[in-house]
Amino acid sequence: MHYQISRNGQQYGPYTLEDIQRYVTSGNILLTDMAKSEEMADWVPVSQLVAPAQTPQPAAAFSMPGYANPELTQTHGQTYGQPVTSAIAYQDAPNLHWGIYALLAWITCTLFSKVFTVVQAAWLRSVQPNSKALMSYGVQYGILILSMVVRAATHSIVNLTVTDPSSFHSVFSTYYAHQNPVVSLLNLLYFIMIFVSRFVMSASLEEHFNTVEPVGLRLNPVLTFFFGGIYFQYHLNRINAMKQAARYGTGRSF
Amino acid sequence: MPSMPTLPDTRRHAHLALAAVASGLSALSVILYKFPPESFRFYPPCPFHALTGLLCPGCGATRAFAALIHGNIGEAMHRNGLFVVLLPILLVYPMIGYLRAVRNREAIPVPTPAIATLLAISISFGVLRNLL
Repeated sequence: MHYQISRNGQQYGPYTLEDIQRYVTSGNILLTDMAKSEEMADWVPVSQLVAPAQTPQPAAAFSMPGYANPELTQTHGQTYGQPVTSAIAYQDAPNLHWGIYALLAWITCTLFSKVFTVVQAAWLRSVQPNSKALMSYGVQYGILILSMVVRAATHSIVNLTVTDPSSFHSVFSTYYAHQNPVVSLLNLLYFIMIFVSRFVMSASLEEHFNTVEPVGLRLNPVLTFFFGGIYFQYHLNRINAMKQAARYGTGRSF
Repeated sequence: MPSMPTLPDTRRHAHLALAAVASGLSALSVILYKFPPESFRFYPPCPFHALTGLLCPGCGATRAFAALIHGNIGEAMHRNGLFVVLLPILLVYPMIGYLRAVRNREAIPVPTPAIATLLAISISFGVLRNLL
């Protein structure tokens, strides 16, 4: 459906609802502007379209000049990627640059990624309490830990001299040659849960960023499948920058 | 304009982060010192290596770190040179962030070209170590 926007007797558009949400976030369209689609009989304030009654104010928080406080955002900064808590209705997502995330994930054999996906999911739960992503990651890593415990319990940990410690391959093949079937099953479950969690997280992110913070987020399923948390972080960086710009009132578009 | 109790909060978070990282690193160092990864197999394997048999850019980092703790830099370089070279950056950059945070200053963002360079280096390292 397409809408016309009216301000001071001038008409603009047509725009889709997603366009309107984006322009409201960037400050180009105000919640007090009037909107009308071909099907509608009367002009209604934009606030009725993008911020329905059950989800009050978030969009207003982005565009109202009263919220823009450069001094505050400067002192708050992005130290350690901490969310800005007081200036805006919803905390910013963790703001670690996605490139640094990818680098840290690579050089720690994905261990960093395991920690940071939980940080992302915990943040999402704080702004979108119905999100199941944190629970899903909890189950995923629970299975991983269980698999490690079972493996440790079924091997004698102390007496584990590797035949040729200078060879990587020897270390790991010794590891997997005596795989317990329970461990194999748990590993398979873990492998499945990696992708379940990614898509649960993706769905929650899309829900949050199209309802309570309507920035029109769309996540690509293929990139979600392959890159998961790193791909989400790319979009969270982008949205954070957008919110930061809105706080300064620059109306920068992304 | 509302009054903002932000400054103590930012500092508190910085102190908490430092405490968490410092205690985590100390615990890890003690474990690696007491139980060398060459002889003890309870350390989690690299999932990429387990799946493909190839070395990822991070493979050997645990053993490299253990070698560093034992003061054996040559051995550490042999296990994972990239990790040894990047380790000072990984320690110093968050430390600067911490010092700035307690002074209530913003963290210095890493320039995008630097991130791109580091990513390129780590990918090349990951490819080359499997070929050479």
